[in-house]
Amino acid sequence: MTSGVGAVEGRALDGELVRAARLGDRLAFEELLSRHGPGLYRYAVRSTRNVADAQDVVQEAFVGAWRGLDGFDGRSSVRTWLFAILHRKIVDQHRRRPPEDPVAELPDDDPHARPSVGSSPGPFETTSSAELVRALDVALRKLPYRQRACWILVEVDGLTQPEVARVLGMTPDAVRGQLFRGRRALAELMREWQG
Amino acid sequence: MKPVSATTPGGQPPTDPGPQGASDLLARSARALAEHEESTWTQTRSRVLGAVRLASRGRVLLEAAMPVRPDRLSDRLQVSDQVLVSAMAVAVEHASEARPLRIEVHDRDGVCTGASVHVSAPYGARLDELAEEVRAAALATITEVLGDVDSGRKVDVHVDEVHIDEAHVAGDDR
Repeated sequence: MTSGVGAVEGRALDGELVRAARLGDRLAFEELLSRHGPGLYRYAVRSTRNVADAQDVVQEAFVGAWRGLDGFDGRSSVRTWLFAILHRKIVDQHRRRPPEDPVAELPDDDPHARPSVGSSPGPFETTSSAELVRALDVALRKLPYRQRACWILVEVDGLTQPEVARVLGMTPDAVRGQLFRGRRALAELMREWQG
Repeated sequence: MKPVSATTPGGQPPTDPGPQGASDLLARSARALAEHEESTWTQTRSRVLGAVRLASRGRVLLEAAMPVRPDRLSDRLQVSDQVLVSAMAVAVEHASEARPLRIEVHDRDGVCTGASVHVSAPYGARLDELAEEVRAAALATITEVLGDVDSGRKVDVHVDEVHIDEAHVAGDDR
């Protein structure tokens, strides 16, 4: 693999990868995909009605990022920029096809789909990570989109509240409120897992 | 069983409106989710890579149908060829088992005259049926994106490769 600007050799900074990609280095862009794709896809799976929709929005987001590299101004992190693009694709998709019952529309080709929160709850110290993720997914699906989005972006992806505000087009105060309500709702929904 | 720490990836202590047990549980859940990779990510990554590779950043602007208004006859609607390429790639992938490899949009003075769609076909597929699915999806997408600016568009389908469906192979192995 030889890059014109050598950006993907070693552990280049995201900004360097963007610069290289802007110059036409597709490998640099593919490195960005490898770094941030799993997180964006994880978020998309929990923000759309099924895996196919999640794949569509993630594909659209990265194609949009590729075409819009010139629009990245460096004022936010690359990850924040990518999440913001993804959020707009999700919103567009929701406008085209509003979700119906979000709980009934868990990814239908995911082996972890449609678990029951109450099927085998127990003290969470003895609960496996996979079981916890399944229970969390069920609970997250019951949250309104903004609460769910704020909780995932802050607690799972480690974005700051101002970064989340930029991603979702909200004020930091609104993010704080949505996050508070999301945490409270999740705590209630997962109460039976506390043992 | 994988131990999961009770801190968030960003190192932020979870502020919890509920009791400590709920706070610990949510923090552990967040960590578990952060470490979780979707089982369909690998497949998705390939698809995204394919779409990005198809999406050249060069641009040819294509004439598209603008709703006619007598007072706005001079207005024009133009669409980048890359928008059309991406839309066709998604449509072809949804409408058939073909994998789009490369799509070229043909134009004459900015008016789309058709496209050449290069695909990989699954091993054993009826190529005539596959080609028709690809052609129909491509033509429908051109019309959807550009409107009926030119009804004489031509779509050529090129089967450049044959691929073996991974799910099919896995099924055979069992």
